[in-house]
Formats: sequence, structure tokens, C-alpha cells
Amino acid sequence: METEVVIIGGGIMGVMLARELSRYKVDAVLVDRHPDVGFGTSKSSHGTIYSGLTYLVSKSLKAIATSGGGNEAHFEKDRLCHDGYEMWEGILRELDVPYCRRGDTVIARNEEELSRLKLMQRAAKPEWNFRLLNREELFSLEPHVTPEAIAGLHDADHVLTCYPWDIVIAVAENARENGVKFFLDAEVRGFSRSNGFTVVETTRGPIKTEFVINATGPWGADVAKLADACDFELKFFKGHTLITDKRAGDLVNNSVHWPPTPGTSKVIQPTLSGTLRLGSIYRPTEDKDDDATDAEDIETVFQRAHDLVPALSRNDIITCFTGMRVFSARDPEEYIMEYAPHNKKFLNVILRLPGFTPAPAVAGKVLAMLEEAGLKLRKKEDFNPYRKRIPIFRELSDEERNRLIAQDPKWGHVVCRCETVTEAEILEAIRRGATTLDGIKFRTRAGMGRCQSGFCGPRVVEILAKTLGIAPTQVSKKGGNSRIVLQEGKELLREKGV
Amino acid sequence: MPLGNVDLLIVGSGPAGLAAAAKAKEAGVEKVAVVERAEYPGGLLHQCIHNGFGLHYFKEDLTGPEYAHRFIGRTRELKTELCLETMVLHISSQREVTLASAKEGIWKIQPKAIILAMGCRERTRQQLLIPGTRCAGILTAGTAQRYINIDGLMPGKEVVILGSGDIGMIMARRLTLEGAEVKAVVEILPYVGGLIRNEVQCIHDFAIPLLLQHTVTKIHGTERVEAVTVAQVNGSAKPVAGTEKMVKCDTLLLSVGLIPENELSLMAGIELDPLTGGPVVDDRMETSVPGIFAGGNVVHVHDLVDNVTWEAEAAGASAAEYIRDGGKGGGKKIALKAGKNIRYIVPHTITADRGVNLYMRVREPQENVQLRIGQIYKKSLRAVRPSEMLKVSLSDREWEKFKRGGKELAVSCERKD
Repeated sequence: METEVVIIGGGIMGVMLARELSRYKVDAVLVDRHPDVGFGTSKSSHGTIYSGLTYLVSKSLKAIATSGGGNEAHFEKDRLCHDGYEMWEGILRELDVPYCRRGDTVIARNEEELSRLKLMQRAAKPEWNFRLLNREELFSLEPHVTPEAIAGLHDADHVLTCYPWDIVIAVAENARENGVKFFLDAEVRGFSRSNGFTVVETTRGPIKTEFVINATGPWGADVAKLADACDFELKFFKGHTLITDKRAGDLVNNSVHWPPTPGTSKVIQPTLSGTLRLGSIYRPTEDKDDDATDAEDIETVFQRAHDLVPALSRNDIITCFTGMRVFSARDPEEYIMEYAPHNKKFLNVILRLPGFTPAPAVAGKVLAMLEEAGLKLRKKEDFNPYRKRIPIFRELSDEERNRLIAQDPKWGHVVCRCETVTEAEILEAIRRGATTLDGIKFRTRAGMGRCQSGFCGPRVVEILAKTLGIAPTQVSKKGGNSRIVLQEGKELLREKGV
Repeated sequence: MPLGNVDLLIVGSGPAGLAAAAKAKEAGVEKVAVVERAEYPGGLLHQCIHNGFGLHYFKEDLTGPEYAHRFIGRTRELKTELCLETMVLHISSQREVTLASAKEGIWKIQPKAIILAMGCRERTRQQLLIPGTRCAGILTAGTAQRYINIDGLMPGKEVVILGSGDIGMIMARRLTLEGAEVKAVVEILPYVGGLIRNEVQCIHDFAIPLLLQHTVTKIHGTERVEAVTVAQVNGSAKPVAGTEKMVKCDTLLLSVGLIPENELSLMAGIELDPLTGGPVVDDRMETSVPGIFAGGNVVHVHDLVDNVTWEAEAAGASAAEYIRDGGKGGGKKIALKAGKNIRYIVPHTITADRGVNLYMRVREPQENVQLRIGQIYKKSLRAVRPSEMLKVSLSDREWEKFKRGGKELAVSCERKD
């Protein structure tokens, strides 16, 4: 295969770069080792796009105190996050991604914490309109927070709540619609150079290209080293997230958290579907592939949330997963957006958090860097910025449902009963690129409900096998050897000579 | 639209739904319809290809499909309407039911009475929060049963089963018969969670290692399960440090409890009992919403299908009565209170003027006990266990002993001295 630009990594940064490039007459290929986009770090991101108070909380205290940290890299990060935030709502609308706007409250229990609230208030931009709440005002806003609270700092706006995979999938679909090729299930194994071109060697074959963008997040240093294009080091932090049942969803009205301390994140955050997300303690780790949850960390995360909202019960927890955060070893506050040493046609784009918020602005900056390195950016007249989501059966009116069923009876066949997902939605997800159970789950929510695919799992396996023309034993949860069933019945008995 | 003029709508065609339908039909309800989302009636009985069904009800040893077919046959004889491949999306407190099917689209009906017979679902790994990776190869015992018995697919070759509920033990035997190696059945309690007969016939007869007072503390594997860590637990069910060992396997099966499926009940505003997970019902199996009845595993999880059938028949008969005369026959309601070593009793309230079956579970295993229901009933039992449901039939004879005027009956299970 030959192309002009290879983007390595199908997370938020990779797909956003793909979409931005698809505005121009540029041949681009996105490569990812997973069978689908967003299967790496992005899927376990917070899924929020934010500015204001939440953004301040994402920074270290020192960085807040020095408002930007004082160096150009920090100011640039602030700028990109601000610009990205301003761009997102328009993009979510263009791409028909469900989202809602929420606010954020930081809570203080004592004078020391109150002084940190005041520090954040001083660091705020005037247009953010933060309000320092006294105890009474705080409890009228968030009645379920700990009675120990003495004050709160409130930002009524500046959080766009979405699902991270919704965003990645939507951006990827739109980039593909506008001509970017997706080369998935292809792991990059090495790079070679020939006549000024780079050959990206993947497990599915080589791709000859002029430019390479490395947007592989935690794996960024490994990929860059394969090309001898790495002069940065990364540090990794693993954190746990718990999700509650919807019945606990009313305990908070906005995100609520403690004043920031190093290695923590938002404590309680309402999600789009009315569940709560309980956030994390982040611990340093050497193993960026380690996504295992740990009993002690689960307990710590729960306890921190429970301290904040005592009405939360352990029985409210319905699932737990981990996420990986990546920081530059040079300076934990910076984004890595740079040409490889001695090669302006190889770009490393590795973001620390927030990663979703600045992505559109970073993509713009990276395109400018590509142009400077010699890529011709000529606008496409027929670029289509719009994408429609798969209709969500459970959210439609009965009239709309009947209209769809009249067109195709499969809209009346409910396959996932917990989330009320129809066969038509699953088939449409496959048509748009889902090849695994997780791919279907992220696109339709089938299997995300209370029975966790116990009921719909076997049916989705059957639909995937039939539609993709593969054996049920080849259907996987998330690619590779994550197969759902291992053999046909009786095969094992035959092997054993029974 | 179909079902437009039904008198009684039954949600679910498993053993409960079919028994309730037959009983209501026999009691004279003209238009009875059963809604089922699958392609065929019978519910999960079809994947239960082992025997042991109907020992009490039919005094015969049947397989699940055979048991189902007895009732499917009755449905045909009685001309009960079966509405297959149709899902109930919503039930309002006014009994307005929203249905969906590929053939008919979305439509609404308002039957005179409804019986909920949605059964139950399995608890999942997520609810247990077992630490470890999120790999493939972790599934509930019932899902594995479907893969093997319905789809003809093997979910795994080397299996550890966490929990010793009945489906888990039955699957231990089933997997062994299909050529898989069951490395262990791991149970956190000091006794198995299912019936003794399953412990003997499915575990001991096949020499499957049973690890009581153990649990799985971690799942390992990146793409597919590669091993689990199993550890001993102490008296308060916490893992004991130093007892962990890795067990190599490609599959972890969970049989850690069943939860009545009551999402529709909640939509209808029906009061649920946090202990059973099912609706609060009276002795007519009527829920807190008039005209909506319930029976079987949707009310509380049974261990024998025979009891599901009887309980659902009570719901069917009462729904018929309700359709005929508004169900105003009953006298004063007496609340049943769970006393010593009783976890719960179904029904929650009774009317002291007719025969009723009481179903109950104990909290702890106990030997040589006396089961007492107020002053009207007592029975000596050699041993009781949480996994074996107790059933007591109260008849007119007992009611004569009951002094009118009481508002409560205490049920207790105490050691005989």
C-alpha cells in the first residue's frame, strides 16, 4: 500500500488527525493494532470535554498557583485546551454525538481546603464565573455531600459529558466517509527508509508513505523507538474507575470532588446515562499494558467517593475498570507535539490529560507542522462534516420506532433486553465497522446493561458470525485470541477419542 | 392489533407463565395470552436438558424440555394465545402494556389483569467486582449452558467454576461430559449453594474438586482467561493472605446467585422486597398494583420448578377471580414476619380464610429444628439450609386454630431442646 500520511493509533488523537486531514486532498491511512478504533486508552477515558473548574482541577496545584506553570509549554497546553473546548460543541453537533452540559463543584472540609478553593478561584478566568458557596448554598445545590463540608467552589458550566467511545467512533466514521483508509488489526513492527519515503512494516503488510504521525499514547515511545525517532520518555499511571447503578444517579447534580491533590482525579461524576462514575487514585506503573483491577484500589476509590457522598453504597457499584495515564518524563505538564530528531516527516503527538478536550486544536497545530514539513494541504470541495449516529431504539418515540420497523422489521426485534437494542442496530454497527462484541457494545450498548451480555452474548456471537461470514469460534470480545467460544460441540470429545 | 381484547396478559412463557395461563384458562378466563420474546415457548427449560424436573408435581423424573412440553401441550388444548417473538417494553401502573415485535411494530393494550412471569437472571462478575483483567472467557453458568445445549458450542476446555449454585454444579457435570476439564468448583461459604442432590450427582459422582470456603481473588489473562488466583477465606469471608494459588484455566464460570427480573415491575410502580428482589405479594400473588399478579422466579428464586408451577398456578387462579369479581373475596390481611433464622417468607401477607402455600428460606444451616408459624403450625425438621427452600401448606384446619384479630404471624426456626 502507498499513501502520503500514515497515522499510527486509532485513539482520540489519531482519529481527530484523520478527520482533519480528510478536509484536504491528502491520502491518509490510519493504522491500529486493535480490530477497532478507541480500543486502547480512549475507551476508559472520562469522556468529558471541559474547561473552567474541571480543567483547573486537572492541573497540579503548583501549575494552578503559577497559572500555567510559567513556561511556554504550559501556556501552549492551556491555549490548546481552551481552543479545543471552544471547538468541540460544534463538532459534536456535526457528528451527531449525544452529550449534555454540566457543572462542577469542589468541596472543602476545613480552612486549608478552603484556601485551595480560593486559590483556584483566583486562577480562574473572569468569564468562568465561579461562585464560592457557603455551607448552606452548597447543600441546597448538592444535598448529599458529606455533612463535614464547610464550603464549595462552583462552576455552573464548562463540562460536556459524553461517552468517550461515542466520540472516537463518530470522528472515525466521518474521517472514513471523507476518504481516510483504516488499516486495523495491524500492529506496527518496524520502519525502513527508501528513496526519501518511509515504509511502515505492519503485521498486515508494509505501507509506503511520506509522512508518519505517531499518536499511540502510552505506546508512543515504543513506536517512536522503532523508527529511531524518540527523544522523550514517558511515565505511566494506572487508575481505577467504578460505575454505579442508575439508582445512585440522583445523589449528585454535577461533578463533585475534593480539592486536587497529586495523583487523584474527579471523584464523582454523573455520566450521560444517569449512572455515576467514581474516579481514581492514580499509581505509577511500569507496565502500560496492565489493565488488571486490584481489590485494594477498588476499595480506596469507593471509600474516597463514599467520604464525599456518604449515601453511596457498595451495592450501588456495577462495574470497575482501569485507565492508563501518560506523562512526559521531561515535564509532566507538557504535551509532546514535535518532529522526530533529524526527521521532520515523522511527528510524535502524545498527550497527557486532558486528551479529548484539546484534540481538535492539537490536530490543527499538527497539520500546520505537516505543512511546514512539506505536505501540500489543498482543500477538498466535497468534504462532508456531517455524520448521523445509528438511531437509538430505546430513545425513540413509538411513532419513530414504528416508522423504522415498517422500513425493516429487524427494528422490532430486540436482541439486548437490558438496554433494549434491536437486531437492526447491531447489523448497522457491523456495517459501520464493528467486528467484535466490544465493537458492538460500544456502538449500541448491547451487553452493557445489568446482565452484562449474559443473555444477548450468544445472540450477538451468532449475528456477528453470520454477517461477517466467519465461524462462531472466530468471534472475539476485542480481537486477537479473545474468542468467546473455543470449539464446536463434540470436537473436544473427538480429540480425546471418546 | 393483536391481543387488543385479552382479559389476562401473561409476561413470559417459562414454567411460571405457562402454568399461570393454564390455571387461569381452567378457571374460566376466556381470553388469555402469553407474551414471549423468544421464538418458542418454554423459557430457560429448553437449555436445562438434565433430569430432575417434575418429581413433585408430576411424580415423574423429566428433563427440562419434557417438563416444558407438558405445559406447552396444555396451552394448545386450552387454546391459550401465544404471542412469540414479542417483547413487553413497558407496563404502566394503569396496566397499559407496550409491546414490540418485528411483525406488528409497537402497540399498546390494556388487559383486565396481568401476571408477571419474567423469571430471573444471573449475577455477573461485575457485581462481584472480582479484581483482574477484562479478558474473554468469563461467563455465567447459564450462558455457558445455552452455548453448549442450544448452540452446540464449547465456551472452554479448562474451567474453574466460582459459586456452587445449582446451575454451576449442573454445568460442572455437563462440561465434564462434553470433554472439558473442570479444575475446581470454588465456594466461599462452608456449604454448597445449591441442592444436596446436585452436590452428590454433579460434583462428587464425577470427582470434581470442591473447594469450600475458598474464592477467586484475581483473574489473569490479556485476551482470554489464562489463570485465576484461588484463596481460602476466613470466617468473615475475607481471603486469607498466604493461601493464594494460581489455577491455570481458559474459562471462569460464575454461579453466584440469581436475581428476579423486575425492570417491568418497577416501571409499573410495583413495590419490591429488597430481600427477595421480587414484588411484595399477598396470598393471591397480587402485587401492590391492583390487577397485576406475579409468580415464580420473578417473585423469588426457587430451587425446584415444581414450586414455580404451583406458585404461578395460584397467581393464575387469583387473576381469574380478579377478572370475574374484582378479587374482593379476601378478608383481613395478616403480615408474615420473619423471626429467628428466617430470611424471608413469600407471600408477604395472607388472608386467614383459605388454604395457602408459604415458601421460605432460612438464614443459616441448622439441625434438629422446629419451624413455627405463630401458634397455628409447628413442624420438626432434621436439618435446614439456605439453599433448600421450605414449603408449608396451611389449610382450613390451621385457620381454625388462628384466633381472629391478630395482625401478624411470626415465622421462626429454632433448635429443639
